[in-house]
Amino acid sequence: MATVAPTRPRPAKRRPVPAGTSVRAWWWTVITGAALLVLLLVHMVAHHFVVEEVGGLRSYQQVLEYIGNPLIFTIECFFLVTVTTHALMGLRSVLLDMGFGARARRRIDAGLWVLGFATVAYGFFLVGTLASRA
Amino acid sequence: MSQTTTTPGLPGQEERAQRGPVLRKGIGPTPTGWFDPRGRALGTWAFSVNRITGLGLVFYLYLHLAVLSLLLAGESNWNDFLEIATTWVFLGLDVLLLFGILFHGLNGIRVALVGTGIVPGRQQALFWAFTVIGTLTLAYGAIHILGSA
Amino acid sequence: MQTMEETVSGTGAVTETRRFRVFRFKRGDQTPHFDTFDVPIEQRTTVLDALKWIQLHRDASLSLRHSCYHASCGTCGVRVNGREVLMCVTAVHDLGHEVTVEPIANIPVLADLVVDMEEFYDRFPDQHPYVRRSEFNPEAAVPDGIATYVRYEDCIECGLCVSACPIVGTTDAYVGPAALAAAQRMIEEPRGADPARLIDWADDPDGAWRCHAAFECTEACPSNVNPAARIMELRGMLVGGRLSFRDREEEAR
Repeated sequence: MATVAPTRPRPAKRRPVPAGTSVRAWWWTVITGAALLVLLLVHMVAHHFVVEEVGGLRSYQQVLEYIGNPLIFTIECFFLVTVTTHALMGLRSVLLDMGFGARARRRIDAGLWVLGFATVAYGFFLVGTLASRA
Repeated sequence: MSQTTTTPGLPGQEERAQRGPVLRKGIGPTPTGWFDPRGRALGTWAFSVNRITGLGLVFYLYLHLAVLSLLLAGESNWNDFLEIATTWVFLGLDVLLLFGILFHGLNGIRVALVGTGIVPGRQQALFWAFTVIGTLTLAYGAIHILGSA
Repeated sequence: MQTMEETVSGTGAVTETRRFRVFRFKRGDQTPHFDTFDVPIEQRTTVLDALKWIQLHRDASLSLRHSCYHASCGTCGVRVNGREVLMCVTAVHDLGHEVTVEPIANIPVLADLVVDMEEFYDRFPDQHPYVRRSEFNPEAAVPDGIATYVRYEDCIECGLCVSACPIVGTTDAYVGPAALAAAQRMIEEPRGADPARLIDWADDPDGAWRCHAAFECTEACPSNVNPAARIMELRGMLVGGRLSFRDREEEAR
């Protein structure tokens, strides 16, 4: 009888991902999401509702002043890591729905790790460069 | 609304095709079946919009990093961008961004509470409660953003 | 004198005619198609009545499944105007003037409205006892002379939840709501099943973690199983939760 999907209980060695991976993925998505509720609120307020310009958008000098503050710098870096993690966890969830096999899933995970590190690295470079000009 | 498909790519698709057509709900190729919430209940609408706003926000993340890179090129480049960013169209897009953030964030709270098994049976009530909060917040934000123009 | 063709349920005068578009597919067909039938109906005509009328008076080759006629066997699940229903309890009078009847989605069609339910059952975990006490209704009157009351599971394994689920529609690897809800019931009340194995079975990217809380399965379920809430409770168990606040009516059991 041809089976469509491996829906029977699987031996551990045939798991598409190691045991507990999905639980950890869920927790990281929830934790970063909860952190973003605060961080994103702070970020949005700071960049749209503080400065008395059109749209609350900061000028070049105002951006440098803002990012030059050590506390702001730290918060924005933390925000970058959190938002990148949450974004790529979400992207992973969408991609996993597309019915890929075990090998493809591992490659997706690896690719997302690389993309995540690259994003955070570039973001740190960006924020660091601007802070150094302040 | 339903399509008959033997779309290759899903595991075991060839064996299934021998048994008979498999009907799918939704538009387009099978992996995007979630995209069409027509004829579905509230929860699926929330899931579909959550996913669309999520994908939109992922796109925005990289767009935002690209735009912020203009700061590296100096003040005049940033000022050129600000001239575009303070137009009505752009401010309207900011309001759309705010909608995306509010929907995804508030629905995310709902999904976290329901999907972690904390309040598994309250998904509709949570949706409507967060809709009220989100609508009020969006209204305030939109008035502030557009009113500043 | 009333002819057989004039009434569908045989109990009264014909009040109107409805047009039925019925999905047709037989082995050897290149592609499926829809056949259209004008069916006389009355106030209490069900979709099953109407399709049986078509079988008797218009096209004897129409294939469909049914059994109990009162929504307890789960055999007659189909989609009517895009929504998953049991034919035997769906009144035609409540539907539009054109009624489209299709087999349930996400499961291969064998013929016309008949799908391959073996594939539905393949999704369930190996351990699947049938009789459980967990749906016992404390308010139900126990008949005289009966000492104890054992109620069968609410789940009638009709497959409507699998058809409705937007995620099953995107990937055949997802086990689906019926199987996950069954696993949750067995963990809640093992009766010889191994909860640890069931938890391990459910803790899989294509198990409980593929669900995205659309709750379409709960909307479609004709038997009050609430599979989505059960999947969420299952996830609560997987994340080690003692965090769940159950509905009061569940607590009352």
